[in-house]
Amino acid sequence: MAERGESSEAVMLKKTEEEKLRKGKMIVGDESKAGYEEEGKKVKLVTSDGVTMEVEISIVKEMEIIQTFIGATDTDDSFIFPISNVSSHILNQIIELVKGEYDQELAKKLSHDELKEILVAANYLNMKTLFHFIATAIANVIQNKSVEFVRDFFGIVNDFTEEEEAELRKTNAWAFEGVDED
Amino acid sequence: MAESSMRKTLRKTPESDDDTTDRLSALPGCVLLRILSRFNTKEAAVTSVLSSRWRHLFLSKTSINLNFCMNGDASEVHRLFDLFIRFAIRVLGQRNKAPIRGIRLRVCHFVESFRLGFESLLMFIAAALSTYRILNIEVLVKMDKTTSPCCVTFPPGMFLSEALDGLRLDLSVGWNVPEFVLFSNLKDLHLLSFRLVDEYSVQRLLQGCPSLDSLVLNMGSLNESEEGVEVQALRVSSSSLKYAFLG
Repeated sequence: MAERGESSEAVMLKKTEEEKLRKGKMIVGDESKAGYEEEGKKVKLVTSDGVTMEVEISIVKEMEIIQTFIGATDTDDSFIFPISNVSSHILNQIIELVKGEYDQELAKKLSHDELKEILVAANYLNMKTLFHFIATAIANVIQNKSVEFVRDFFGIVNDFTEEEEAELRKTNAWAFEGVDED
Repeated sequence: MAESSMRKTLRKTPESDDDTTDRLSALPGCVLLRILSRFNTKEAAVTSVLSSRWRHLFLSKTSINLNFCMNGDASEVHRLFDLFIRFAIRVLGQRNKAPIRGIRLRVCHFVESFRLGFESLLMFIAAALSTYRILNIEVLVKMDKTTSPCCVTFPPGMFLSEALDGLRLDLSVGWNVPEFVLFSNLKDLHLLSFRLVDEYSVQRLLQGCPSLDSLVLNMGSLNESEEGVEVQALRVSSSSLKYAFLG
């Protein structure tokens, strides 16, 4: 029994080694991904709502704030990084967007609040590609929208009286030509 | 009145930090202006009615970019052109002491009836040129193909500036180089679709540009109906010129 157990373990070991080698070769060929030895490695992050999430190293690599932290301190695999400004819900959305290779179609499914929270999170985590991606997504949402829509989106409080607003629209009338009113 | 005063009491205090806090308006004016600099003047002006914070902000944009490109029903186009000119004059005239670095004016489908409004706008540009250290000016006018050709007159002040670095005129309407030209610092001059009205206009212009580095001169073709000026030789001479493209 013991012998059989050993041999099957050895076979498994061999298999994983082969797999590693295969993966290694595959990724060495693909120069866009650096360091195949870290493939599959995960980093633990604890979100603002106290959820510990294991995130693939390839995604964490885009979070420059964590990279700075790793570079500055002695950390091992068990280290849990606190990201106190990002909720688990938003982190999950971020992971989906990175895995989906930043497809604007994915951004269309996000709510306005999610878009804004992801923007703030991307800024906090210092994820440059995500930041530009989400800024573009927000620009697409507010493009050609009415003043009321944009006020509502950014939480801008209208402190004009109706008369003042009407007067402004009159003096800058040209600016409001061709702007959608929905 | 009661409703509007109620609205004012609902205004968020800057200290509140819930999800509805207006982070955007809380940014410093220079940052907001940087954002507005990505838009042309018309687009930026829409932000004026967001709230009092934004009311005059777009007027401080250092680059003025005005486009009029409307086609269709003549009376509607004229109504819009009138709004455009009034808006453009307001932007040039009400600066709140903000500097102007560049002016870009583009008018497509130009017809004779635009001329007066357009010329009054040029006068405001000339006035701005004498007041601010404007570095770049670009004026593009495309004639409407269905109408007969016409001319515009540049105000004399349009060709006087100590600061101007680049001038690009692409006018398919006829125009005259004023008698007196002095661009003491002009480096880069583009004259596109240029119509020669007299033999000496190009030379008069170049003589007023002692620092000119590069010149692009592209002659516009005349329609059959137009009377062209017969020019024996076109003289282009300048002691400072390093690069010239003549087409």
